[in-house]
Parts: sequence; C-alpha cells; structure tokens
Amino acid sequence: MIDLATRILPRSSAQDVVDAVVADVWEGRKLARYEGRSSLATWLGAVTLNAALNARRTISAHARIVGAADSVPDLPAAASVEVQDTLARVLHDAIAVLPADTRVLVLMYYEQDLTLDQAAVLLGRSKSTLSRSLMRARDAIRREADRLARERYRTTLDALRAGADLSLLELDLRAACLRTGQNPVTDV
Amino acid sequence: MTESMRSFMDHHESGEPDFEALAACADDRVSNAERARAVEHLASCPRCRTIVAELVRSRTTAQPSASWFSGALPLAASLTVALAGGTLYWVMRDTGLRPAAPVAQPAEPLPGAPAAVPAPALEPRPSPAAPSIQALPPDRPRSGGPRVVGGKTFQLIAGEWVDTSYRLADALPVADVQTNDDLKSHPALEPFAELGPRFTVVVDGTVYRVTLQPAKP
Repeated sequence: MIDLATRILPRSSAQDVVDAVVADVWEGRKLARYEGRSSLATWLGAVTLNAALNARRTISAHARIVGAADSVPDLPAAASVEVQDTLARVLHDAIAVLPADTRVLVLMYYEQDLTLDQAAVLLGRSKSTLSRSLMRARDAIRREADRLARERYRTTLDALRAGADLSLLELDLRAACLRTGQNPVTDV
Repeated sequence: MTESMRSFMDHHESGEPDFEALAACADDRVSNAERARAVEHLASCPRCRTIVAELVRSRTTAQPSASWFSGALPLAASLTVALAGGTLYWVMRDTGLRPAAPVAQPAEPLPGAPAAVPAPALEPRPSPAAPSIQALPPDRPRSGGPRVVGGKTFQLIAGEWVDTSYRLADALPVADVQTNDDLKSHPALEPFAELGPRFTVVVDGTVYRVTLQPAKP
C-alpha cells in the first residue's frame, strides 16, 4: 500500500494516507463494500490510490493558492510557449477523436507510461496486436493533427513542429498528454 | 453489464469510483463485455486511468520474480537429475560397475545355435550442450530522470534519454546513429554510451539520434 501511495505522493504524505485508509478499512466502513470480485490486495490498492489522488488534489490546490507553479513538461519539439500550447492542443484533440479502445491504449502508453506488456494485461489483447494498433494510432493522430492544424491555424503539423523530423512525434505525444492534462487527475 | 460495472461508470455522480471494478480490471477478472464498458469509461476518466494503470504496473512489476522462480524450479530440478545421472554413469564406467539389470542368461547354448554375439560396449556420447539460460530483463522504465552524463542533463522520455538542451525548433542538423560502428566513428558520443542503445544528444550543433539495433545472433 505504501509503495502504491508513494507513486502519487511524497513518502511523508503517503504514510499519512495509508494510515487513514487502514483506519477506514479497519473500522469496517469500506470493507463492507468488498464483494470478492477482485483480489483483496488489488482492491486495497485501488482504495489507497484513490485516497492518494484525493490528497494530491488537496496539496495541489493549496500550492496554487500560495502561488507555486505547477510543473508542466516542455514539448521538445517547439520553442515558444504559445507554439507548445498550440501543438499540444492539436495533438490532444487528435487523440480525443480516436475510438475508445485505441484512445485508452494511447493514453495508457503515453500518459500513464505503461509498457505494451502491461497494457496487454489491461486490454486483454496480445502485445503484438497492441503494437500494431499503436502504430496505426500514431498515423491516425498525425493525419488528424495535421488536418486540425490546417483548419484552425492555417498551418501544418510540420510547421508547428518547425518542419523537423516527424518520427519524433512520439516525444511530443508524451509531453502533449501530460501538458494538456495539466495534472489530469487533479482536475477530476 | 453487472450492477457494479454500471456504478463504476456512474462514479462521477456518486463521487467515488467502484474500487472493486477497477481492481477486477487490473486483476483481469472481467468478462469481455465488462472490459469493453471499462475501456469506454477509462477513455474519458483520468482518475480511473491512473488508478488502473498503477495497479497493473504494481502487479506486473511484482510478478517477474515469482514467475522466474516458478519457471526456474522445474528447470533446476531437471538439470540436477541430468547431472546426477551423468555423474553416476561416469562413475560406473570408470569403476567397471554396471547396473544390475535382470538379463536372462541362457543356461546352455542349444546345439547348432549360433554363438551369442556380445553386445558392443556403450560408447559415451557427447551430451548436448546445456541450453544457455538468459534472465529476461526487467521492464525497462520508460520515463524518468534527470540524469547527468558527460556534463549534459538527460530526461527519459518514452524509453529514450533525451538531452534537455535539445529543441526541435532550433532546426539543427540531425545525424542518425544506428550501429555500433557508426557510434565508434563519432568519438564525441563516447561519453554518452552509458545511456544505452537509445538516446538523443546535441553535440557541437548537431543532433545525434542514437538508436542502436540489437546485434543479430
């Protein structure tokens, strides 16, 4: 539990969250809802992660009040903040129109940083199938992003990326997922 | 769709995800229909995506040692038996011992019957080389850093170490390095070799994209 919580929070805060979850479960409030459809350990992990995400939202809100800036990753492909935002928005919107299963694959891979092996467990498909799906998804994203760039900004995806090598789109996708999300879990 | 899966989908109204449904997804204990519903929800819910992703990650990173152990145990047992059998064979051969096999000996050769031909001595055959066992590498992390190598700072992005000073908009010339020979022909890249087979670094106004292909057997 503490390992899971430390994936979301600093260790000191993670320990507090785990203590609270254990107390909650111990008093039976949450445990009464456990029906045995998953393993108990995984269920406890889900409860812990949710509590950690709640705690992180509180911490982030507090940080915003006191004026601390959220760290947003740079898009390696673009120089100015404006171009970065534009590129990120275009890529984000191109991802958004993918079919749900492909979108989950892309987001699990680029946003959540799962490997294809791990995504295969979740999506119930083979790694090779997912690899091919991801390749097709990248092509679809590239086409849609280019279309959006032409439609909205009268430019091309190439131009947004300063005419550079589009094979590096992967790096942009990862940054775009994180950037446009602006810490997505805190917005839920 | 079960009632639980429906509540899982509606958690934005109820305020809290159905943890058991999320855990069941990570445990791979859902039907195809439930999985499809879950995927539909995960596509638009960052919180549930994060929870499920972390659960899957924790499960799959915890499993390699167990699966390695469970796979290695029968292999070790087989090797031990083979080794013991081989040792016994050599000991018996060197000491002239033979296993006490219940071989029926004719009491008297029948008249006119051909003399029994002694069985040829067994020659030891070279045993086939034991298969080499290579431990599977653990899941390679796909993000992380920063890491300072050769005086430059790198960030791990999508499994590739990228020089933080790299900006595509600088439009610097790009050189692809795909083989070890290529790499050796650029001495300036030598300090960065410890980053592994995939990295991008800016050196002397040139972007080097190193993607070394694994050596073919």
